[in-house]
Amino acid sequence: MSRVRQQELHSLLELPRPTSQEINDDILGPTVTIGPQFKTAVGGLGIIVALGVAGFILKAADGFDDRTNWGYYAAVFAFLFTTCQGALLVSITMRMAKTHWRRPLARVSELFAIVGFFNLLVFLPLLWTIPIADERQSIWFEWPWGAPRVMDALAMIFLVINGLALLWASSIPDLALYGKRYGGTRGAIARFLSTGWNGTPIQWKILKAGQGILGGLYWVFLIGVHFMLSSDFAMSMVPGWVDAIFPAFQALSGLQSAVATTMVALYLVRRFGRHDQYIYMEPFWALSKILLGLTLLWFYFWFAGFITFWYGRKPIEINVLQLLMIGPYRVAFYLAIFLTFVVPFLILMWNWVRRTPGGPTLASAVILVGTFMDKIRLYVGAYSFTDQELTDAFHHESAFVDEVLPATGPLIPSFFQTNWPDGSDILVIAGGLAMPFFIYLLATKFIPVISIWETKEGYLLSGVKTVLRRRYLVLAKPD
Amino acid sequence: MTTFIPKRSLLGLFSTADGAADAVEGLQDQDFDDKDFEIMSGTPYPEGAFGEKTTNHRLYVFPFIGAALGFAVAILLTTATQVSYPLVTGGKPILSIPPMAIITYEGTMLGAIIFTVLGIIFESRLPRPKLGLYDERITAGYVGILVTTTEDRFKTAKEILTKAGAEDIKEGEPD
Repeated sequence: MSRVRQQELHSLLELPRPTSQEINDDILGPTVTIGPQFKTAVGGLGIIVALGVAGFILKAADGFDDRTNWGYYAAVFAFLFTTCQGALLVSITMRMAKTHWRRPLARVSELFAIVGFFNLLVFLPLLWTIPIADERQSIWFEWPWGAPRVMDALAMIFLVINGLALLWASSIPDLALYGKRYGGTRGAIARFLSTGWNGTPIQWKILKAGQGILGGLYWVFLIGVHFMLSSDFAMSMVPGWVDAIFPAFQALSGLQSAVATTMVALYLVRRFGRHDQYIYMEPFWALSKILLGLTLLWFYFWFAGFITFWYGRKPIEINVLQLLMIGPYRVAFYLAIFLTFVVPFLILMWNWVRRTPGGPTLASAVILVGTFMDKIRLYVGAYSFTDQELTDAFHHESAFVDEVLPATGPLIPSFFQTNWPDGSDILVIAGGLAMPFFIYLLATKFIPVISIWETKEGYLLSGVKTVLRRRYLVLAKPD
Repeated sequence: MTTFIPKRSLLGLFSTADGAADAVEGLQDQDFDDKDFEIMSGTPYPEGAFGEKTTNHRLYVFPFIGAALGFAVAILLTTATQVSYPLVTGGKPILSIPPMAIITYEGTMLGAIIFTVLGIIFESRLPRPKLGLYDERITAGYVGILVTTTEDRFKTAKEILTKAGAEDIKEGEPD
């Protein structure tokens, strides 16, 4: 199929309707081909990821006892978890809602499950940076058996398994197609994973039911893991910080980031993946409305947490506000508010902007930067305390809990001093942020980045009809 | 003693869904059982689009079984470890529900996930090490009707597929 000019790619109504064979060729072609641009991109990103690994080794050589050394590492992990592992929710939710426009983004979103596996590897060393749940406040009630490390590790591992299972289930028909058409190692892997699929009615029925179940489980699981990780790696690392809204705020931030991540990925796949004829304007337009709603909710959740502390004015509440918002990490905090709420709100409030692929993508990119700033102020801030300070708070002997401490001047406590990133932190940040791009790019050469069978189904269930001298898209909804 | 009756397969390829539906109707009219033929497509057609009987599945049972097993294992794990190392902390009972709840939640979820995957494979009648009669044109929009029947009905099946407008018919070897 010939490529269609960008300005014509508005909706399914205006696009030429390809045949099944053309869809196979258009989507599988770029999946199989490994061109020089791809090699350059993967090579460049691979070097940055390698630098990130070097940064990690430098940190590990210093040990895990000094938690302040791991603050930026924790922030990078939290950012990747929030964005990449949340991205699957976009596809899951839109499939549950039976939206038609989700077809171009379904696989784009689910492919992040593979990034989730590598984020698990980033996560595991972090377990040694937090103390066990003994003689300190946590959600684990001093449970003796490895809390919180074992529980958090299991939660992450199971979540990754869930994501990969969902990706596998959704990809079976496309893997079968890949395996039937191509040989080599990749074809053999595709054939093995498709387990002899041949597209009988019962197989299609089970596939859709399985997607629904695994998607529902992922939804439930991800929110639970957000609760655990934000509690264990942020809130319980700050002496006396008790905030019922914070885990919910982090989960909500995860939803906003998930949509933003999917939108940016969708744009990049469309722009650089040679799939522009299958990624039309509707997904951007529809997702941008959801993103606008989540952006407003982000502010609401943050403000609900903030106003409770600001109004309470207890010493611990003032100290937490100083630590995380107006003190050592105020620059990151102001950027987070500005980039996660103000700027995207000003962009997304205009319908004519939302009806372009570029506008919502710009807002999404800004949100992702803001989310990273948010994770820095939260996790680097939370990683500023020693184990002894946590134990002191448990025994009600903590100045941080009982007195309003100075955040400026000569008597400033160590946890109110800004922990700026050092060389190893910068390497970790660069490598950590390059990792999803690196892994995602590689994954697109094994699994088609556009769901072929869902695209075909979209064309099968839609048609163009003329009513009152205008052409309309007519959709069949069998269930 | 059961007698082994050799069977033979043939695959009819249809460029339109209507043709495939006609073939299914013809097979049903000639008393071919639903187990005697399979419809294969590269696109998920709505259920019943070819006039085939609605097939029920039990996939929804699998996550419940998995969840129940995961729950049981998690309770066993949390109970056994705490009873093995009975440390009273904060005056709370050895077996207290709140700290056990999260491991139980994780175990329940893992059980549900694993059993759902197994359910997808089992209920889809997978894995199939041998694909049998197949044609790559099915991936390009054709609909395949694979009939597996006894030698004496083979000719009838072929006539039905031809009459329904099969563009091509592939014949398999007798079992």
